[in-house]
Amino acid sequence: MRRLLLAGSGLLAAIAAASVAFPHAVLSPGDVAEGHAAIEGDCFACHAPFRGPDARCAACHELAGIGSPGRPRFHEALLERACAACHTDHEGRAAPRAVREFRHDLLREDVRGACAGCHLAPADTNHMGLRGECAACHRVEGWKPSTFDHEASFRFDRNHPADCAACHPKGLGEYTCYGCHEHEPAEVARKHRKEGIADFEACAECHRSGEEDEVEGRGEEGDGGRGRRRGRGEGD
Amino acid sequence: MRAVAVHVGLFALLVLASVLARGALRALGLGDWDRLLGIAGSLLILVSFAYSLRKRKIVTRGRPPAYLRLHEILAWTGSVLVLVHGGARFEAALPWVAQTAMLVVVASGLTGKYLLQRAKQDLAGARKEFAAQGLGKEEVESRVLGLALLVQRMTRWRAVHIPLTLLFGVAALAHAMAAMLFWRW
Ligand code: HEC
Ligand code: HEC
Ligand code: HEC
Ligand code: HEC
Ligand code: HEC
Ligand code: HEC
Ligand code: HEC
Ligand code: HEC
Repeated sequence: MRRLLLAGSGLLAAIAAASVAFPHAVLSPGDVAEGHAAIEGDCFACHAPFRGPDARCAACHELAGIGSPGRPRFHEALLERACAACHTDHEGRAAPRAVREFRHDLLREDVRGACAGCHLAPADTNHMGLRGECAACHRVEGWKPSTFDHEASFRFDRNHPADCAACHPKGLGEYTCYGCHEHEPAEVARKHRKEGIADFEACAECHRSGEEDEVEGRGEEGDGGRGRRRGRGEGD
Repeated sequence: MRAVAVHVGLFALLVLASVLARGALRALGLGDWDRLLGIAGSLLILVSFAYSLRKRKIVTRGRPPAYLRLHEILAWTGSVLVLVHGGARFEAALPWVAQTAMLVVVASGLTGKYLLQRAKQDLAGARKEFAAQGLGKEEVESRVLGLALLVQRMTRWRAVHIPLTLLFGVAALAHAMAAMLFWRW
């Protein structure tokens, strides 16, 4: 037993000595990025003992100066200087990127909320003539699925699939139903007059779906928003 | 021959299980569990040393064979977890040495298990033979116990298994200490 303990301690001492002499070869989980090659062997340039790898990054990097032109400079607005939450290292000399995951939750709220400053909406039907902030329809966890729930505006069905341009040919800010019901405006007019409805241009005020029986009463009289969408969330 | 296949199979299963588990973790995006697995695996292996305590009579409760079984199962399972934790990475020498030593120890452990199994068979054979010679029951037992060959075989095996285990243990300990030094807590 004593011999084992002795041998064990000797071995431990040998490992410790090797670690001090050749820290990179013995302990490092990989080569650091090109920019850091000069300090690769100096582990404690970045690592503070027991305080993680990123306690000392800001000693060399001026946070205010970081960022690409035309994009918000957010490094100064970080809630925590947890550089390694987003940045990585030891991924090899030619690591393609120094960012492994973008932790939106580390951004100050006002900076984070301005999604459009950092993100461009794709030019697809979901974003035609887009108004309003991305955050109204997206969470930071992923673009898909969108949190946007069209059902509150109009429920899609077999006759009314989610083909945005069919109802929003000029952008999401307005809609029209005549894209399909066009060949029958006279018929629509006749039907509505028969019901005693003379002013029927703002279709969605009464129709939230293509169900004939699912018709709501009209909003306030004299609502000027016919055929246009009402401002979302105004006043709340 | 079958016994050899079983023990080689157990070793292959160890490697296969860890490769599959590692792949599954990656696929599920649970890469962060790596660290936890390393700790859990080491703990399992550590607990499995209850067997050594029992053998050296530091612990006296329970039957040694049950402890041996426990040692085999926990050490094997712990090794799977450690392999999942480490994977086929070779950047740093220390964890690499620790993991390689672990694999060698497992292989040596399985060899020991095999030797023990064969020893038992030989013993049973000897017993039968002595009995056939018409010796009394007690006489048979005392002669069987005296079969120096078997004892020697296991002693020689332990002279390999235990130092290897020591190497593994010290390297793993050093690796854990280094990791803690470099972590964010
Ligand atoms: C340029 C700064 C920098 C230098 C120099 C540096 N590291 Fe790191 N190290 C990091 C960062 C950043 C991480 C975190 C990487 C991650 O989590 O992806 C890290 C992580 C680690 C880890 C933990 C890996 C894990 O999986 O938890 C170890 C161990 C480590 N470094 C060892 C070393 C050793 C040993 C040296 C010196 C030979 C060294 N580092 C030098 C920046 C550095
Ligand atoms: C000892 C000073 C020093 C420390 C400490 C340091 N860096 Fe650097 N870093 C540099 C130098 C020098 C460069 C290369 C010149 C440049 O791009 O600004 C660099 C480059 C970078 C780059 C550019 C991308 C690349 O791959 O080359 C990033 C990102 C970076 N560092 C992040 C970090 C992070 C995160 C930490 C802490 C874990 C850190 N740095 C710690 C000096 C340092
Ligand atoms: C919320 C995630 C996040 C955190 C936290 C973060 N960074 Fe960054 N960092 C980025 C992104 C994204 C970029 C690229 C920015 C750009 O191109 O506009 C970047 C770029 C950089 C660069 C310039 C890289 C280059 O190629 O020029 C440096 C240096 C840097 N960060 C250092 C740091 C340091 C030091 C910290 C800790 C105080 C830190 N970062 C914390 C996300 C982060
Ligand atoms: C009115 C709601 C709405 C707003 C506002 C909105 N989006 Fe979207 N976005 C959607 C919908 C719906 C999808 C489709 C989601 C799906 O397929 O599950 C989508 C998808 C996306 C996608 C994924 C595209 C793809 O095909 O992979 C990106 C990227 C995106 N949006 C970016 C943005 C950005 C950036 C903004 C702000 C400038 C923004 N969106 C504003 C509704 C919106
Ligand atoms: C300061 C700049 C910045 C702001 C503000 C910002 N983001 Fe990001 N976001 C990023 C960066 C950088 C990435 C990483 C891009 C990459 O990996 O290519 C990212 C990635 C994403 C992703 C992709 C995640 C994935 O796994 O694909 C989504 C979704 C996202 N952001 C949504 C948002 C939303 C919603 C907001 C507003 C609440 C927002 N972002 C605000 C910079 C920002
Ligand atoms: C069958 C017709 C129809 C289709 C197809 C359709 N919409 Fe709409 N959309 C409407 C109607 C009706 C409204 C309600 C306008 C109102 O309430 O004033 C609306 C409202 C909206 C609004 C405003 C919501 C609000 O509350 O501010 C957005 C954004 C929108 N739609 C996006 C889309 C997108 C993206 C698609 C494709 C995925 C789509 N729409 C497909 C009929 C349609
Ligand atoms: C993509 C083409 C298309 C668009 C755009 C469209 N509809 Fe329809 N709609 C149909 C079809 C097809 C039917 C089923 C045939 C029918 O009864 O005329 C239908 C049926 C209906 C019905 C039920 C009729 C019944 O007798 O059951 C209502 C109500 C209706 N639509 C309302 C609307 C409203 C309101 C809009 C605009 C927000 C709209 N539709 C836009 C294609 C469309
Ligand atoms: C003031 C409320 C109101 C408005 C605005 C309105 N409708 Fe209607 N709509 C009705 C009512 C009520 C019915 C009859 C429902 C029934 O028959 O049960 C109806 C029926 C319909 C039908 C079914 C007719 C059929 O064949 O039976 C269609 C299609 C329709 N509306 C389309 C439209 C379109 C397109 C618009 C916009 C141009 C519109 N409506 C505007 C209240 C309205």
